[in-house]
Amino acid sequence: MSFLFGSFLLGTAAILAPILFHLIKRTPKDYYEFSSLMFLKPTPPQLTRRSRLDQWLLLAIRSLAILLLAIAFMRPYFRAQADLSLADAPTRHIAILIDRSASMQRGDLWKKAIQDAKWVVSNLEPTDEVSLFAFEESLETLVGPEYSTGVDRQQRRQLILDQLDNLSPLWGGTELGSALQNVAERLIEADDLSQAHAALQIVLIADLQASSKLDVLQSNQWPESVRLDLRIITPAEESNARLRLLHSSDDETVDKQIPRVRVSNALGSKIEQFEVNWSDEQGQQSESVPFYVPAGESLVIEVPYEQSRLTPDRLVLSGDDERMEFDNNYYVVPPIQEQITIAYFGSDSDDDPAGMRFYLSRAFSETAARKVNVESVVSNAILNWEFEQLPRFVVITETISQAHQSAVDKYLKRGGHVLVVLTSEQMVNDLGAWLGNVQLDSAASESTSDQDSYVMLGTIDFRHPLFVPFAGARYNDFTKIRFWKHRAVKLQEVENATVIARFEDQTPALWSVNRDKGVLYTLGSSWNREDSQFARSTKFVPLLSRWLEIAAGNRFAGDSYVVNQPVPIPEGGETRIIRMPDDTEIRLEDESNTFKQTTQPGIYSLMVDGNEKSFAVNVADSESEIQSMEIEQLEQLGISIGTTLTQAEQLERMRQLRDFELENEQKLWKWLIVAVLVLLGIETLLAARRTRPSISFQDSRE
Amino acid sequence: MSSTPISSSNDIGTSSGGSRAKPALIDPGSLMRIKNLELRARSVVEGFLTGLHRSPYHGFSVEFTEYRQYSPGDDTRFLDWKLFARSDRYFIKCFEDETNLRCHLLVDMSRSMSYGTVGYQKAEYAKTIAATIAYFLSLQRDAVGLLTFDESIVDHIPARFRPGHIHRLMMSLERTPTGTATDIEKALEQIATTVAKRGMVVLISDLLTSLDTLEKQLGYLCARGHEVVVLRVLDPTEIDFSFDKPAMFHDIESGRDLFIDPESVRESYLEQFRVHAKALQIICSKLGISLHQLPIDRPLELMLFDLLSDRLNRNRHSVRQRSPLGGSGS
Repeated sequence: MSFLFGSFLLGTAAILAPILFHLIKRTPKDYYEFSSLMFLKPTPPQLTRRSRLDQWLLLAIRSLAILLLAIAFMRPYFRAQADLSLADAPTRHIAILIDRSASMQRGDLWKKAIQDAKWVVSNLEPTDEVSLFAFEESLETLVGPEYSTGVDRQQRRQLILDQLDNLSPLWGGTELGSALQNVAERLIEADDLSQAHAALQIVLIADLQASSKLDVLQSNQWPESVRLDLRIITPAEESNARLRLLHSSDDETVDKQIPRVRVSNALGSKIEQFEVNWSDEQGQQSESVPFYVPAGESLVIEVPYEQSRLTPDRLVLSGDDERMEFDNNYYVVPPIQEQITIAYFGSDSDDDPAGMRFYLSRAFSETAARKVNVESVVSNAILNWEFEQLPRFVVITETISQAHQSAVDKYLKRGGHVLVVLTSEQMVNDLGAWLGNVQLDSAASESTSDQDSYVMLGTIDFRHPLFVPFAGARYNDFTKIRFWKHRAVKLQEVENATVIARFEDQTPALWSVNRDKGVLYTLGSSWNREDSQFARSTKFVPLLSRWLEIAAGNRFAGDSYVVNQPVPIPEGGETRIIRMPDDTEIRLEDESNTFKQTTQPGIYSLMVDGNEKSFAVNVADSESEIQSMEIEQLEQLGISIGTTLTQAEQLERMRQLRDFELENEQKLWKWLIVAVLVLLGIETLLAARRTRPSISFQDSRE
Repeated sequence: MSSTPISSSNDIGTSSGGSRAKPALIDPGSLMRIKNLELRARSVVEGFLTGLHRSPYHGFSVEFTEYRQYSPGDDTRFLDWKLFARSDRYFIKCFEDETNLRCHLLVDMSRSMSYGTVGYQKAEYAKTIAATIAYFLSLQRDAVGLLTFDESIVDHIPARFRPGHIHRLMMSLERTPTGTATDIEKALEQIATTVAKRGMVVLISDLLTSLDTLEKQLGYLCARGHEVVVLRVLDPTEIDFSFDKPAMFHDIESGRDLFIDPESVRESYLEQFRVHAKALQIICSKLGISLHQLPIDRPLELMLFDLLSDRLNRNRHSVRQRSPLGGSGS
């Protein structure tokens, strides 16, 4: 006979109770009335002096009833079938997933993570399958689940241990969601292939930062069959601060330029006193700036340096926890003022307010980031524009020579942007063919209207990149710009002309023609005082700036990137080589216009035809977080957290289930309860018979 | 005082009246079977009177007259002019009180009095005592009053002597049920405040209460000149606690239940009971009160005999210290 709940055997200890009650000589069956109890004290219940049990039969019946009751609770049953074997239980498949994001560089987290992973491997059951993955922003399969064929389990584990020894943390962010989802899918796929019906388990070894990305999990259903075992590695240190250089706004003048740095102290940090200084590659440092940031807050400070003495390329934060130094450097491309050239084809002088150059050169004031030079091109000058010396933008306001036309064509071929301002009908006639067969509209000759009559811009295509910034209702009012004169042209014969704006009389005001990689814009009027109010309107400067922006096009949009962020690379040039922070060089493919191997923080250099341009790559902000994610957050996404049962445990569970079934079929406990009831009935009868004489005696006495 | 007033049931045969033939005494058990209280009292008194002829004592109503020298302020009406004529001295003639004895019977009817293990209750015995005394006194044409009480006054009949009064008294005694708690103080206070004339007060109770204020109330009565007699009615088991088996004991007065093993608590019970009785006796002797302990299995004639002999002793003793206007007797 077997029992389901052996622990109820303890209930037989209750047999002591009737024995004790039998020993206690408390006889409440006698009952006397007495006049006054004022001279009496209660007698405590006592054991009989002789410590002798009487009423043996009653005691035996009561004890037997308790014993049977205890046995009934233990749910006895007769085992009939043979035992289950280990082969009946499903095996386990465990995928170890290690976080190797930048935050794992902290302190001894990585060491702990590897130890944990090795512990998991060494504590596996002999029948367990195991695979190994690592992730940061992307998932890397180190030992895949499909690998199992041909290699026995022991070799496989040794392989995993070897891989763990060679593994090191990287500098990327934490894409936890997609990594988990991918591993779960891989496990299910492998399980389906092998038809093993194994219990699937992911062991996640990570620091589980609060900033880990989980969006993939939100959009996907987590497979129910996969359980997640979390092994969270938390750093012993609780302080961390990070720093960022703030980009100075364009309004600032050159003289006042002091770099501003924002330092954020992580929530829960213990250290709140830090110093920041500039440093260059050789370790030469500027004077450090001490400051105080409370935990969870950030502070913007100015960190000056002497430009003459130092060309720093990084900001260094000191005072942070010793083991948290992975994010204490912030790389910055040495700030250099960008020199932008606008080539101006025109004969008017710079200080003539009646001309157009006067307004053009004054439209761009010098800022810390850029300086715009309007260079006038003399009509007989020989143009030899090379890479990096190319003007950013070309403005043509008069008829240019054939040589210049071909030079501009070449410029357009390299992706240049040119604006032709039609200042006179003569110019239309001269350049009409070059512009793509632009002709004067003979029907509507030049509107030489007097001062009283004018036209405004009638239709503007605000979807065009040039006018996109003006699309908002606050900015799209161009009615203040009056054109006294404009050139009535027709574009029917111009190929690929895109009219961006038209005058009220439907003649094109501004149109663009794509020439190779470049764009040729043509304006049907000018910003001469005689022609229009355009130069004096509020739209003039923004529009020109927008032209410069579009013209900057595929240059470096910025010079600061995050690890693993693809960096757009300008095209052109014969050989393009990227020098990594560790001085290794990578030659770029001709077609590629992005660089994706930004795997480590530091200063990268792009070398095109001997010219060098730098950009900085830094660790993502989110990696500096020290707060851990709430596990509930994962549970909310439907992930079942916990460990799957080992094969032995599964076997035990199956055995228990079968025992339950057997017991449920046999239901011996019912018969035991019946026996208990019968015994209690007998006991009641016996007890009644024994107590009756004393009651009758009592009655007679009363 | 020739002997202690306390005697117990055990010395029925050896007491001073022990030389009398036993059949002369009526067994209280048989007496209690007589339902009519008056008849019961008459049986006792008649039996007692027949035995009285052999008694060496001659009743207790002896008259006394006394002369006292006149002092200024005395009422000149009471001057004995004949004596003045003879002796040329002023003497005041002192009279006996003209009324008969006024006796007040205070009967405890609390729940504890309903206890009894000899076939009848203490209350029954106490009522018979009261009826007997009342009948006896009425034969002598004395005025008898009755006050029954439990935790409050149940019935109060002032002391009178007139035809039918004794019957009324018997009726009151018969119909009085037993109450709950005991409050002797209230009864004593009632007597002290309502009865102005001096007389005799007989308290019939088991006195199983706290004695804290009893002394004060009894003292108050004594101070007003009353002659106080306490008859303590007790069941034999209350005296010797002769239970043998452990049992639940139910206090019939407070309703409290206690588990008690008599063997283990008997010693302490007897000790406490003795201390209580001793304290009561001290109070009584201090105040000059006669205290009689009456186990309810004791013949009632003996009670009457004790009472009268005790009273005779007292009168003899008090003759010597009689005050000019005082004096009691019937």
